[in-house]
Amino acid sequence: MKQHPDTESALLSRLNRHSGMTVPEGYFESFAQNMSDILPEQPWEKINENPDGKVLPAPGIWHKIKPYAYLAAMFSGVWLMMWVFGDILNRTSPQMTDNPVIASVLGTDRLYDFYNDNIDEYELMEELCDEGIVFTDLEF
Amino acid sequence: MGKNRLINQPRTKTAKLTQQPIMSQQTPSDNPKLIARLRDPSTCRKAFNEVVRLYSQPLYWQIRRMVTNHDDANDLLQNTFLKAWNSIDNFRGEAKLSTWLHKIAINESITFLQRERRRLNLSLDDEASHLASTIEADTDIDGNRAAINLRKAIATLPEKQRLVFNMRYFDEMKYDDMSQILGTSVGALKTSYHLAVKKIEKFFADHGL
Repeated sequence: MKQHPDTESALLSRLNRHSGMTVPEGYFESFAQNMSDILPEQPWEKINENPDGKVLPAPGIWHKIKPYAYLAAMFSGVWLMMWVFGDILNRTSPQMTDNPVIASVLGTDRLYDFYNDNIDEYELMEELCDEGIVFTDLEF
Repeated sequence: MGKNRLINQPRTKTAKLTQQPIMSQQTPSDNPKLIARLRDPSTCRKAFNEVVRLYSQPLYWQIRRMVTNHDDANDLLQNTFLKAWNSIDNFRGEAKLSTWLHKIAINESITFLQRERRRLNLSLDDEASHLASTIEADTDIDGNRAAINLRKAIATLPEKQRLVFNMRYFDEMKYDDMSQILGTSVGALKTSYHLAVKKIEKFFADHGL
């Protein structure tokens, strides 16, 4: 019988490191299997795994700057939309002076003469009233 | 403890019982390749399953000798591996893997015993008689009366002496390794072991065994 290195105790030598404890047969094999099943998922496994279960390479620099790139793209889109819609609105309400023929007429006395010759005083008063101009504002 | 059990090991009346082996014959040594795989996120899970397979036996017996009951030991072994898995980031490979796992297992065992003492309102002196009654009620034994008496004698030791005695006598663990796990000097461990042996001999003498 092997003597324990630390002690000359005859008692402990006689017992020969036998604790008398046992486990059910196959306990350790099934423990390892069950333990494998209950190990929770680690955070890095969630990041690195795609739905097919394939492990993807670790996230690179694009992964880090992606949110900022998306934010910049969103603001660029909004600015572009405002610019396009502003241009469209301007085009839907053209000014009379945009027309070169009308513009050339407006700059001459012919328009004044036309008004003077074809609109009588009553019509002129009525038009001024419609525009909200009162007679007291007028200087004769 | 039992209600929190994650794994319920099947028990059959005809199940053959496996005896505790001599620890020094089967305690695995740290494998550098295994450590490297543990630190690689893509191989970590598989490597950890291998760790469970390699270390479940030595850790189980260490826990079992502290808590005496198989079901409690089973729960604590699960908790040990779950804690190791959840804090695998903290294992950087500077310490030996076995040392790290043994530390977790011992902490789990001591915390369990403290919780049981509080739950049953036991003093440190009462704990020995409580453990002795648990040993008598244990069904996972081979019926060797001398071994049961030895377990009862070990149960009378203070917690630290019990740990030291178990690690040295049953596992034949080196004092240097024990020192790393328990954070105690080699000299103090040798003294603890010597005192434990004397107390066990006295227990046998006092009980006419």
